[in-house]
Amino acid sequence: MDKIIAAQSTAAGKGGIGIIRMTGKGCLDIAAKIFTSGGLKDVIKAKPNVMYFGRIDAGAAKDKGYLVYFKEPHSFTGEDTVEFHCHGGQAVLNAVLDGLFGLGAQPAERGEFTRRAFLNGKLALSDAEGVIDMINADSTAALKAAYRMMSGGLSKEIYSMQESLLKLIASYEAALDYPDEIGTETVAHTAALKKLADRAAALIAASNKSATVKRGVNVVLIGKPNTGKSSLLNGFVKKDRAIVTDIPGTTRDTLEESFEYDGVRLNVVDTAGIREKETAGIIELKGIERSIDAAKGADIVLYVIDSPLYAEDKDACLPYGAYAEKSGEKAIAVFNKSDIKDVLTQCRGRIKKEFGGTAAFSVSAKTGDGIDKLLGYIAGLFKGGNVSDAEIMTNQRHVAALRGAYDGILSAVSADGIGAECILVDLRNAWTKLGEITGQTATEDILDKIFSEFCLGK
Amino acid sequence: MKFDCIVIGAGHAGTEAALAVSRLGYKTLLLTMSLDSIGFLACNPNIGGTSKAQLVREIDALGGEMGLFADEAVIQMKMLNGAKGAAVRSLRGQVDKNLYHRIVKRRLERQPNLTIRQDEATELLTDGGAVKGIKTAMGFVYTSGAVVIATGVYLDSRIIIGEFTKKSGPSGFFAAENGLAKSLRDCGVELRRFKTGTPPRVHKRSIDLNAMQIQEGESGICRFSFMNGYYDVPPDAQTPCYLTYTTAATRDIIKENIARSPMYNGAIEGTGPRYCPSIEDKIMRFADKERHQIFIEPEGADTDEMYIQGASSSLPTDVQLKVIRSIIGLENAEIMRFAYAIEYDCLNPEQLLPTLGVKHIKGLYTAGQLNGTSGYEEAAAQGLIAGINAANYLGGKDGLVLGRNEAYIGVLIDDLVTKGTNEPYRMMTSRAEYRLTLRQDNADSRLTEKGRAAGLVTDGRYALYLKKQDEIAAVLAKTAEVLSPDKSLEDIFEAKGAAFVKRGYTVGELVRRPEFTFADLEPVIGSLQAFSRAALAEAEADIKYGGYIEKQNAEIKSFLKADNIRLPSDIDYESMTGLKAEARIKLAKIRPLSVGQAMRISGVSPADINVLMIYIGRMR
Repeated sequence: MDKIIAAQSTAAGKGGIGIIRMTGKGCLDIAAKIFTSGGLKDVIKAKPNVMYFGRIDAGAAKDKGYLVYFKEPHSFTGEDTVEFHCHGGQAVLNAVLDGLFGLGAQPAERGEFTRRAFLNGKLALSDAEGVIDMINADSTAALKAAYRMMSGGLSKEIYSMQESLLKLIASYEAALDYPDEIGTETVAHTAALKKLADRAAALIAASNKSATVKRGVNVVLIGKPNTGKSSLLNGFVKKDRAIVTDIPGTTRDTLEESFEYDGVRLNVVDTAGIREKETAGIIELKGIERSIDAAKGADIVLYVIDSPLYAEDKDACLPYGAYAEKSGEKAIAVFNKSDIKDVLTQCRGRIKKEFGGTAAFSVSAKTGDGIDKLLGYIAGLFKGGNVSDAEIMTNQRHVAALRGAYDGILSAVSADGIGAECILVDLRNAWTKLGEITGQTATEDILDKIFSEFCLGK
Repeated sequence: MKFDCIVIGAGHAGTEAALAVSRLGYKTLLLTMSLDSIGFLACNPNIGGTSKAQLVREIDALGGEMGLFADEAVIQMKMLNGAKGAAVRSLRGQVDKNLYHRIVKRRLERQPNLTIRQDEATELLTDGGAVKGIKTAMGFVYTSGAVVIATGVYLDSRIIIGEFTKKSGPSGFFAAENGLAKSLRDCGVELRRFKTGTPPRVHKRSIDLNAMQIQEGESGICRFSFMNGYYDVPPDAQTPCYLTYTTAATRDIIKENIARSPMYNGAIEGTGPRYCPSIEDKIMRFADKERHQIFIEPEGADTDEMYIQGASSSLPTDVQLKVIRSIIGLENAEIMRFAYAIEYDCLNPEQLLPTLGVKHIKGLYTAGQLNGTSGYEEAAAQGLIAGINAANYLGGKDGLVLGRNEAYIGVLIDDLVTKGTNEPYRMMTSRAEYRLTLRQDNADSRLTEKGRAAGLVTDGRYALYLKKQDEIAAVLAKTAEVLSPDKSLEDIFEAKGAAFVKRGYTVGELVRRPEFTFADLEPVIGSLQAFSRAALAEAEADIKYGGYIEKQNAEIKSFLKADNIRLPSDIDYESMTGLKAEARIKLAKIRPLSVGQAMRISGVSPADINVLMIYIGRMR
């Protein structure tokens, strides 16, 4: 009732634009944290029913788009509502949603927007007839189903984490309620809590990867002008979609192409080549800016390098690491035009020196040589190999709950020198969050644990 | 004879109820089976303890009297969790049981509007779904507009000691076995059987106290009643308790004889409390625990009877004697009273409204162990609320219901009427989700106004309360003060071993840190003489918990939102198609007063709540 909820309101998949809707008191405060606009200095003072153009910066994704604020009661739900009109790529929309969840919004239950609209008198009875059925079909049933759908290993892991947490809570509680009996035993559980936090963090990391797989891996082509990025994109999808010329700087805007390779969806974004500002025109500069943004939000950045130029030792690559962290996992060096020169064999020593542990591939956009090897490598990173299927949480609500639990545990760990009664505020929150996944949250459970673990009472 | 209200039972619940109703101006009859059992402490000789001290302070703040009784009868005081945070500190007072009884009896005798009579209620009289009065064993018929039943463990009770069993109330008092239970059943009240027990009492001269650790009291702690200030009796002038342990022999004896335990051979059918396990239960369930603690507590200041805390049992007397004598220092123990288990009728509290009124009988209120609880403090708290609400009912006023965010009493009653209980219910701090603000040091701040509105807070108490509020405000005003980093401040830091940075500090930021108190800062903020210890303690706790209280307040806000959505009393849950079967049955039975209460019913899921919300949305 009180919480802020958010969901994508346009159909999933690729469209011209995509709309994300967030409703609930205070949603504008959240919006203000990810939206900046030249025309609107102070986002929380946005006028209702006005479209503002600006930048949406949700950490993992950046986009330009519009914000519209609807003031209660003049909105669909009857509560304060904010809409983001973004570009239609699902990757962007997912990232924006993730950003909103990270800031305190909650994934909307099915039918929740409609339910709120009804409760706030915005819908007639006849409109809301279907709402009960909708809710019935969802909520706990869906929760349970989602829990059941988790792999055995994963549900066991969550359950075991909840058990460990419950044990810790019980021992803290027992010491508080029975000081005569356990008051003297020191309660030092920080190590156990840290371990628990690590377990949660590992699950979250894995699920982030899995979310990546679900929405598609965002691959961004980046490089100096005329290194053949657009040709590569064409080579990837085997059709002439991007405009290819040999005039440096032809691509002025980013282009996205989505396709499946070896069971993994890849959203490949071609960007404008990046070169010194002095030589670039205004339109091109805009394009370059977008290229940089795209790279920052990418899962994989392909540094495309002109092989013949590289062999001649000319200024062939972008300052490495300037546009994406230099982590080996995220960056891949792609030496294009291998039909002219295969530097990977010829300049092995130099590449090793300059690119360190980064994966490097030799390809030819023109002949198609090496492309399968490159795509296979990328797909391999996101299936099997790095992420174990058994430990992936796919349900968005589960991930949000787990993240909440993780925050609670971390907060308890950092509560140095503070009493158990305070630590318990965080731990109980964490436990309730895990309970949202497993369906166990009653105080009775804590009491049961206390009395089964400790011999207490007069 | 005609009364406004009849209270059945003069234990801790009945006493508070009778005092509340009569003080509110209603002609009241207090019926007890024995005048000698008024305010009787049938089990442990102490009041308070974790979460129970909070209850006593709350009763006191509302204008109830248990705190006053306890303070007068106390022979030792201790602050449990004294070294821990204010929210979990709990006062416990050893009391002289006989003195306590006499204090309560005298208090009742001096109460205007209150008639005390020894007799047994045998029948509840009703008319058209409302109470009309009662009949007694001696053949009297008393009429009244309201009845509070607080029969404790007396209703059709029997005690069990091994193979020996007998219809009896606690400690040799008679059981109420002449029809009240049947009459309640006939009125549609659902009763069930609970069980509890008490340990043996041993003669002091037979105990080797030198073999045990002495447990002394403390001084300089705030008494139970807000009216009584601080307790400054030096520890050596207080009556001590002792700590000892069971041995390997204890374990062997119990294991050998476990088949003779009525708990284990099935002779007892009632459900016992987990938090009050018998010694045989502890040994059997925690077999690998080498030894168990046993506390020896005096039953009073001028008696040699000692209470053996931790040794409650229903084993046969010969085994009991062996078990007791296997405990260190009790090798020659002379048992004066044997331990016994007691089985009694109580009602399923799901039949009650949060006012403690019985849902289907107007004017009938119940309180104490009859409602499935355990403990003197839990009983007194309910007695007070039942008494206030019986009076409110008679006066045509709304009932007093305390929220879970306002008082342990609110948690206690909400748990009972919303979740029910399958064993005697004991208050615990872990049951209170908002315990950082439900502290014993601020009970007066939380509840005095409510008690005043209810009509039980006297002018004297109210003036004292307002004075403390002013003091707290003045103390809190000091927190914004910025202290310059001079030598005297540096000295304070040094004394505490805290790192000193040469910069201005606000009083608030220092007090928030674990190492500093207001008192520590006296050299730089000036004398605190003008403030009472109680005001300083409360302000300090609020500051120290500041960040966490904020977190909690956010939770309270959303809790209240759901709790403030009232549910009409005439909802037809049976016809709500969207509800799951279990939820429908539970909702129809409990008939929650708010969406918040509905959410706390076990078996009612968030989806059911959604459906409920939609229906009430429709009804608007």
